[in-house]
Amino acid sequence: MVTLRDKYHDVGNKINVALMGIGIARKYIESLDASGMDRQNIQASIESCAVAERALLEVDGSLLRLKSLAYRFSNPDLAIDEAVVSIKKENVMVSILIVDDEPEVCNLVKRLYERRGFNVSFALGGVAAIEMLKTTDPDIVILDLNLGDTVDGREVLKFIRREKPQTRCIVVTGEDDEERIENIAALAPDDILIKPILAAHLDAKVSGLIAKIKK
Amino acid sequence: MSNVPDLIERLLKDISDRRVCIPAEVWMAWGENMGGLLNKVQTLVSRETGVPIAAEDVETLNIYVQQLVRAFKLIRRGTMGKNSVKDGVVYLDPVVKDLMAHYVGNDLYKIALMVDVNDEETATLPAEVREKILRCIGSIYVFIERLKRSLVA
Repeated sequence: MVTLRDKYHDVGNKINVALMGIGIARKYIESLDASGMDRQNIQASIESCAVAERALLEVDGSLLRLKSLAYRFSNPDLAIDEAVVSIKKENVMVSILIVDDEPEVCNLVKRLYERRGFNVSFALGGVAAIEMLKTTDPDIVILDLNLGDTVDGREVLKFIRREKPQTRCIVVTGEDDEERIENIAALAPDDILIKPILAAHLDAKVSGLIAKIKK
Repeated sequence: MSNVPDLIERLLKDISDRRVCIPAEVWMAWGENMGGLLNKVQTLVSRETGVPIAAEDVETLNIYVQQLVRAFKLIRRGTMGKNSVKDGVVYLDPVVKDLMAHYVGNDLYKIALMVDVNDEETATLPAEVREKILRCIGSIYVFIERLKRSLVA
């Protein structure tokens, strides 16, 4: 039985590995100061840093996953498998619409959230999205802004805000300069994610919105 | 969807018309940040075709993908016509950066989703995902070559 508490311990162990790596690297670098150029020390220092970096990246990934789990787990000693079953039952009530012009992305995100028990549909492009939104009321829309369609993501977002004020919307965009982000924020999405992202980033945002919906 | 290729061609022509030049130090930084990692992913994924990617390799792949996503965030919009590197951050002409976000950002997003979704479902990656990841990496390289052709040597 693997619990959330076990997962936390696992992350703790990785942090320790990273800290040890950094400690060793620092020791070598200090000895380097004392002894001048020493190829072996430099190599050992680089290797220790690589170990630390790898462990920290694993920690980063684990923390993101834990963050999305933490939104949904009230009891850290509950077996993860059991908790996932109960979460799935609750998630059936939540509907997600994915709007993207890439069929591959739509299918992958659909698989990701169907696995979590959500009721998932997708629209390939802005025109299809508006048509779907006229007849359905998704709880959450995951919206790619650059749809390369006659109706772009901004138009879809304006439609959602005008016609479906209850619908939560996460915008996914490749645009990252401040001015453009401010322009997107002015259209009042619930959240903005800048591509490229990991599934865990998206998951954390979706979980946050679900927590708000269920309140 | 049909207007996207036109837009890309227009942006590439704009780069060419403005005679934008990317200095060697910027390409070196690109190579260090992104090129090396793309190469690692390519090597790992193409090592053994026709069979699923084993769980331990998926773990390594996951780390490479996280590193790639992080490295891509170190590429930012700079001043029009100028490309430079400062404190490990690569600043690109805004049009070049937009193209980079469109091509490379989207392909990285797809690779990350493929690895994450399949990893979560089975802890391994089906053989056909190898091909899809390699296609995404190939499309990144094709874009970089097209971009290089539009730049001043």
